[in-house]
Amino acid sequence: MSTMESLLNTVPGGKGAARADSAGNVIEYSGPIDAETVCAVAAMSMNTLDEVGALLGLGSAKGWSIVSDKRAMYVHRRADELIVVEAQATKTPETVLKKIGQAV
Amino acid sequence: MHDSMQKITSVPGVIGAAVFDESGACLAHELKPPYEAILLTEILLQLRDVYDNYLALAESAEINSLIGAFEGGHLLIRRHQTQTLIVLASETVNLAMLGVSINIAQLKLNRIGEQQSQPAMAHGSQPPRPPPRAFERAAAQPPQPPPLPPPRASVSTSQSLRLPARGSFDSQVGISWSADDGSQQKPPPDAVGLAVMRHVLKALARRIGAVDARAILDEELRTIGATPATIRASDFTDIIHSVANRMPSADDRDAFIADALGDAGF
Repeated sequence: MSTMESLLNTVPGGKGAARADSAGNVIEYSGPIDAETVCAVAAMSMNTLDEVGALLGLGSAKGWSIVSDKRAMYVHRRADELIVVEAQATKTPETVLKKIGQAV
Repeated sequence: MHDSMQKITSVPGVIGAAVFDESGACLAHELKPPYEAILLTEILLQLRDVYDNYLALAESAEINSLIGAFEGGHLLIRRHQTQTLIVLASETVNLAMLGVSINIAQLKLNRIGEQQSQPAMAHGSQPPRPPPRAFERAAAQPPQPPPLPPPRASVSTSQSLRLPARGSFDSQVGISWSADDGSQQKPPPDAVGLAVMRHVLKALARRIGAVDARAILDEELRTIGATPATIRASDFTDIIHSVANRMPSADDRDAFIADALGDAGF
């Protein structure tokens, strides 16, 4: 089982998981997701979140999640990589983000 | 509403919490310095890019939650109907516990909203509006004022605060400071927004009192034919200076300008 597959199993309602470089270029992925687009969106959001962290005095972004009515995106940031998980929407994204952080 | 804020901030590791309405105005907050509601409005504005990125990907037009985990703490944002809840927490906070607390707070806020809407319906008022895209609307009004131009040469020489003439304020209908001012006048794209004008009102009220502050700002707004919701960025610094010029003390003027334009607080 690949790293992405095992990560996907830790997320309730997980649809797909991908690993990308900091520019959003996909390195590997698992599941029926548009990994290129999902990773590009994650990479595009990174700078804005870093700016928000700086404004709040909290430093750089280590990870984030965005949940809409139907979908949820979780991003975990490593040195030069982004781990992105797409899943069904949940009412407790905090718990899922924590799980992903522990799993990677 | 403050009870809900206090419940959230009682969770170990929570730094502060605030609720904003769809116009970006702070409804309630439990924030400690250096954090201020206006800073969080700025954060909502910045995060608009992130929402837009995501909305381009998702079929849905609604974002319900955003969590940012940073090196030094967490930022949690939840949208519920017309309200946006923002929570700041330290790195050590138990995210699961905080998530549950936020869900409970949202339920309470929902009940408050229902209780407030029921009497209105009973009196034949307007039906409740459908939930708007509060994330976007709350961030739609830029809180950052435009750069400060050089001070005007014509500073008032009066030794007392120049208030509107007696009766001039009372005899006129007060300008609405709510998002829905009933004027049918749509805010221009370069409007500074209600959040900024409320901040200016507070800054002035701290110095001269709420009643006089409101009277002076309303008068200045009428002079240029604007409302708090429609005043343009190009008129903003003029109005700040017009108000400041009514103050007899140069120190008060400078302090008010710095406070109003955000130099003092964030």
